[in-house]
Amino acid sequence: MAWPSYKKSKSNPVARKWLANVPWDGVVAINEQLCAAKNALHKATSDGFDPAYKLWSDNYARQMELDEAVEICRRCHKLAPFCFFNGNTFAAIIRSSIGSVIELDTSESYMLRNVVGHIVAGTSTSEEEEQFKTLLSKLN
Amino acid sequence: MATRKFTPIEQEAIAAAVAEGLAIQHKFRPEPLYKLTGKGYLKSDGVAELQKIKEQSGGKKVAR
Repeated sequence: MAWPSYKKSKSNPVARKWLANVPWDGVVAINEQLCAAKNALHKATSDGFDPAYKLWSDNYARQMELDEAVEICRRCHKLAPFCFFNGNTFAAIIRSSIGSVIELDTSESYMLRNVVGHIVAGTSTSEEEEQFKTLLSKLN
Repeated sequence: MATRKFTPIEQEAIAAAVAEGLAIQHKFRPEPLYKLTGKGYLKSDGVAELQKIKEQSGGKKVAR
């Protein structure tokens, strides 16, 4: 598993370095490969790249709770650092970081990754956000 | 956009994210709709995929 091991503490049981193995250059490389797969232009945007870079670089390496990691991915998606395929770049990062979660059964793990994908994509409903909170409480 | 060399752990994480991104790519639109409109886009796969996973797993706990 490429992601940091589960660090459980009494105060913050699901805190983990969720994004630590994807530095900004890794985000760029992911978008480059996703664009290449669809013959789309891989290029930085003039207004979104720098703020997304700063947001990511200031935060990705630290331990955080899952909802904060999801929010960073959502905000980076919304900032649109790249011309194309921002959505699946950041949704893929958080979905793959979650991987299989030991506290949830298969369908719940699937739901978690699905809901997280919807939140990062900017399409989540209030019901899905409630579902996310419920799933987080099961992790706790 | 210049890129640097990655550690093996980073390479693995990036490869996993690329695989995930390719698997879900058909659900996304390429253009930055979320930024432009404030609303993202994600094509639904419906319940078929979840049902398939449930059938395959039999509701067992996932080993990490």
